[in-house]
Amino acid sequence: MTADGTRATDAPPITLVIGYGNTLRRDDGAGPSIATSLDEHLPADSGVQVLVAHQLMPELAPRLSEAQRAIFIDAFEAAPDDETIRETVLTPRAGTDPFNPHVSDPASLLWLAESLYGRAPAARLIAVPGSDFAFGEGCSDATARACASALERLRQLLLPQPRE
Amino acid sequence: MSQRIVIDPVTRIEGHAKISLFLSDAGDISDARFHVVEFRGFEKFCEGRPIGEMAGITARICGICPISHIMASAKTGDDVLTVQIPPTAEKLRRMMNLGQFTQSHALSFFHLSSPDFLLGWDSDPAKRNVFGLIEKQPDLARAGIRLRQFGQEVIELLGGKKIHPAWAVPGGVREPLSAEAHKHILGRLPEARATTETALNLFKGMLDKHREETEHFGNFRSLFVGLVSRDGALWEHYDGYLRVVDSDGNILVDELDPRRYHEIIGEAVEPFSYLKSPFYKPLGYPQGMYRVGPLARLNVCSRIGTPLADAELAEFRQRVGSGGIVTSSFMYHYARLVEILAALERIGMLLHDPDILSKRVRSVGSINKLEGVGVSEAPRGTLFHHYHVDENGLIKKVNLIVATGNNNLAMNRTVKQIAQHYIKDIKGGKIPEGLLNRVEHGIRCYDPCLSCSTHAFGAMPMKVEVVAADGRVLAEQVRD
Repeated sequence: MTADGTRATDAPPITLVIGYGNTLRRDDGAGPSIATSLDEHLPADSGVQVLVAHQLMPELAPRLSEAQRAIFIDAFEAAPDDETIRETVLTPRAGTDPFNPHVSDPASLLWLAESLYGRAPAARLIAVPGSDFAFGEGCSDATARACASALERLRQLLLPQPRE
Repeated sequence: MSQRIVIDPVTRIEGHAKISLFLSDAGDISDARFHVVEFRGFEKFCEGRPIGEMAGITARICGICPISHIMASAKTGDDVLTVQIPPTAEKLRRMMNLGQFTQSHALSFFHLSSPDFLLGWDSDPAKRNVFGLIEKQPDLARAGIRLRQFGQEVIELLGGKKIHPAWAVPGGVREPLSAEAHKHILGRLPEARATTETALNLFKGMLDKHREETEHFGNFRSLFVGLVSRDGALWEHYDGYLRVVDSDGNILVDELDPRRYHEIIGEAVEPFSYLKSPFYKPLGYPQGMYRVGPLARLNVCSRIGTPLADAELAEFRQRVGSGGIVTSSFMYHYARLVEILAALERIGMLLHDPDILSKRVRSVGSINKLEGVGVSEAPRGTLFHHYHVDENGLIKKVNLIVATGNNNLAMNRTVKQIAQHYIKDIKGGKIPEGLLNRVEHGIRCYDPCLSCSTHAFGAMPMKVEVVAADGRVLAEQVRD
């Protein structure tokens, strides 16, 4: 895993997982926290590359264009007792400015990949509820529990499941 | 009845600002003001923190140019510790700063400013942005991304991450350059250089088309302030002496130790902005207006000291200068590209330095002075950090003069000049959007970083208001 992006020399992954957010703003750090935990448990031959990013940068676009699948992990503002993760299938969309990392969103980044590099991967967003975005490290209890659910969902999506 | 037109907020810049244009009864521009409407207060809340934390804290001032604050803060720490950092540490700090110049200038030129002069000042504002640029000039947009990525890779490979690396510290740097990173940066240099040369040729090819902008976008006499090298007054970005020149090329201040900045620079405050208005003390306020940044650095230096950039500097001065001095702020864009080339050549020189992979990168010291000053060049201009500490190294007082602040008086003068040239005989407050865009661009020339200069973030729709002197809103236009 590389922090805040990737390098051109890295081999293209089959699946790119991008957990993003500010780890110094409590629940906003849910994406990086989940991505870090996921990376620790992935086998070397999983074909998955995990990135931790402070913000979504335009430089991720060429990397996205090389992946077959992408999963973004972010936090969203919710009620303090909300532990329900949201899963959304994403399509490329020219909405927010992909060159402004303060406002850039996954759909715009996918649009940038498609527009400049010819293709965008199939993508989805897993969003974790958060209620405490104040200065500080570590997630609130409810968000930490939601992170565990998100991690389990990612394992389902990324790892072969045992047959029943 | 006199009227006021407000452009709020100014778009495609870093941070929050608005522009007020004051109309006379005749419908002409009587005055213009650039307001910075955000406040962050780093100078105050850093008080009480250990000096060793300051590079990490002040880096948080900005996500675009954190490296500049890390450099100035680490240098201030060196001064307080009174240590001479290892030669390799200085070379690595320089390399990271040059990576910062490359990524920041690339963002400014390719993605923030070029939509105006590539797509047209009066083109559809809904498409006069990065989306329109990608549609019309995808190759340029891709090249811009790659060039910015290169600068960020230099930062990441040295500091461990692209944004806010806690790497430069008082006494040197935390980690040396690895052989793998050395090889990677060296391998990416030719492409970065080729992209920069392509952009330079593109911009030079447009000069004739933009004569009017060159003439009226911040084209006035002023002082220029910047660092030059101690040996030969070469282009400098990290250390050296302060030099001040005027629009005729006269050197007013030379070989000034940057620690003595306060002898020549005063700080004024205006009620309409959170941004300081620094000025050159001998001329007083506001006559002591000066400019910093790419244009100023090319005006104050004797030469750059690398072959490709020196050839470009000579052409720059010949094509758009007078007596070796370039006075139009529209040429900040041109100067930015020359500086990227200079940065890439300097990175190449540093990579070939025999000591660059040395592991000796940090000196150790304790609090030996209770006051320290660190001055370096940020992409946007000269950056001053000045700390007072107690015997335990806890911060007692902080003064920051940030590049964008240095240019405050010049930015106000620029928007006024553009408005007075383009906006005339306005009755009823209806002004074509393309003209207001030109006024905004006057600010973009300076690539201001308001997050830094006020010590922001968010979406920035543009709001234009025409307000009568009695406060009545005569017209309003909002662009999302």
